[in-house]
Amino acid sequence: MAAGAIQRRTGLTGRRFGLLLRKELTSLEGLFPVLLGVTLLWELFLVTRRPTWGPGAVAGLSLIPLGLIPFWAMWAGFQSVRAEWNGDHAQLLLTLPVPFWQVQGVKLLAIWLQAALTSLLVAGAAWLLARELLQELRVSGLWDVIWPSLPAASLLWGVLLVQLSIVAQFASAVWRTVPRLGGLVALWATVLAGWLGGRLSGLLGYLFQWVPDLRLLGVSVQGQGAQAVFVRYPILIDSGPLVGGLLFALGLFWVGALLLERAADV
Amino acid sequence: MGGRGFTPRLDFTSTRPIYLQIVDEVRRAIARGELRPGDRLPSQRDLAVQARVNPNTVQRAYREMELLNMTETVRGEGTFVAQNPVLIRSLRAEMAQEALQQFLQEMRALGFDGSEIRALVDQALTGDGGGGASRG
Amino acid sequence: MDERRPLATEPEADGRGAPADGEGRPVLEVRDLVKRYPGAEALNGVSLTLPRGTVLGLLGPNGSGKSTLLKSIAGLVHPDEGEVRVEGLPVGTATKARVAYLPEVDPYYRWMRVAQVLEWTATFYDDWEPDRAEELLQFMNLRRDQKVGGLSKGQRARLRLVVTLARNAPLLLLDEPLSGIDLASRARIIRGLIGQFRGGEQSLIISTHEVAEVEGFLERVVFLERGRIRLEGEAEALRVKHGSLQALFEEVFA
Repeated sequence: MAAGAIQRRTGLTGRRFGLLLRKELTSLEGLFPVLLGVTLLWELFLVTRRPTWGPGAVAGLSLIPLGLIPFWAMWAGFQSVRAEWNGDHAQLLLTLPVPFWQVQGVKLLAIWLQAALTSLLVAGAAWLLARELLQELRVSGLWDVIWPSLPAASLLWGVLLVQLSIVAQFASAVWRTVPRLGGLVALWATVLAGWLGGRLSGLLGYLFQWVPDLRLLGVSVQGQGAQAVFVRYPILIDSGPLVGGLLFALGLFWVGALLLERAADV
Repeated sequence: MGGRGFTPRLDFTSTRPIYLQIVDEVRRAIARGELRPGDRLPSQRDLAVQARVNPNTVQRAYREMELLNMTETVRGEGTFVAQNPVLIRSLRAEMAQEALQQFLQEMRALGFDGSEIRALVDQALTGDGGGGASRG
Repeated sequence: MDERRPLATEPEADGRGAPADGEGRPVLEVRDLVKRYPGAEALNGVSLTLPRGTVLGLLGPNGSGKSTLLKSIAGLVHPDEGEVRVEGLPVGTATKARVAYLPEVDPYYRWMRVAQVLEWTATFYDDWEPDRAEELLQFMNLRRDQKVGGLSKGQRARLRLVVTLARNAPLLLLDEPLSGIDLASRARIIRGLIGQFRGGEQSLIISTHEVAEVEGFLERVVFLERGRIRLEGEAEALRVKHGSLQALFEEVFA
């Protein structure tokens, strides 16, 4: 009677969310410290090379760690499921009175926050290393190309990372759900998801044609020698398929969580 | 832990129900004077914990003892050995009967008849000075 | 030797069967549960009803399906056929808030301290009782600042007991709670379990193959063998008929 009188809340409350997010952010399974460490070391290395290599070269090279982030996002997405299962922690997470998509969602959120932090770090380093060039860039007009493109480019970057991490998490979920040949099935599921995603995001795109297009600026050089000028031209990116692709990823995320909650045996 | 450290010795390999074994143990303790009228029995939970039995089993035993007028329960205070002089006498008589019956059965099984048994008992009693070394 | 009888009808007139608030339905109903694993069948048509306030022993040798059954109730294993209901609800998020499951494995993170394990459970389960947790912690000789990674096997087993027993959940599932606990402290652990068990409002299933340790605590027993119920009944009645449950266990699984 007394046991029945207790109000037992389900789902994430503020405190539960905080606890889960903290766990994910401090988790070492996704190797975030490695990504962060490599990035920091690289940028510091470039700081020491700056006098010899010059600010231009160093600023360009400072962007290299950005290339690591998509791969890391996939690895972290994959580990977000695999590590829990390998360490017997699945029993802990799956007996929580919380729908599993919420648990999985917090995991992705942590990955996105970490990826965003690293991206900002790289951007900050690039800016610091290139700051003397800024005046030059302004004068040349190149800055007027970079600056207005930044919001749209960041958005594209974010969409890419979100999709990659979700696909990886989904693949890992499939792996855990299929009792035999899970790896192979997961591989095929990923390929299939990619193909299907391409198709569906196009189709879904028609529904979202009303979403304003993304505007980036491209640049070309006209003229030669001293007369050379930068000519800006707009690059328009259709947001329809982009939104479609995001929706598809959302569906994939949901299916992955459902598989783990309702089908995968622990 | 409340009570007086009374811990029944239970035999899980016996076919006698556990709750009756608890009643037997209390009865024996009363007859021997280990538990006196007015003594408080351990709380049901304490006894359950000590004897490693289900609290419901103890509850059943305590109810049984209540029905047999061995104990009295005062609400909020606990269960006490009944203030009933007749009880001790009858329990002792009862247990003496049990011991006697067991003894006689054993002796008869060995082939002794009534007069032989009587003679042996007399002999034993005078032999150890009538100290009455009763086996438990 | 088939002593099956419906668990739901409990003719004993000792009052604990009578629900105070009209919640007459059993705390657990398992119907025709089948679970197949590739190449093996873990559960093969198990049906079981547990009245409120009962201590049930789930007995059987290793691999008899005890863990699979408990996991099905906890929502970790998904049956191929049949149905499980906890307090009338199908297994899901809502029932997970009402079931306290003690797994056979160690689910906690090695970096966690004992205090963090307690905080975790307290945050996610609203039936957590801090006072009880404190009492249990002392009883089990654990300190809040100990790291999970540094605990011995026995200490981790005790931590799992603390976390499970400090919840005022209507249904407790203990999967081999004594495994990993040394022989010397088993009696003590069982005493702790009996002392913390709430009876009446709380029901308990213990799976074990060490029957002698819990012999006196069990009210009902189910003997599982290769995914089927081999024998089931009231512990006292079986004992009166066969001697100890331990003896019966050896007899059944000889």
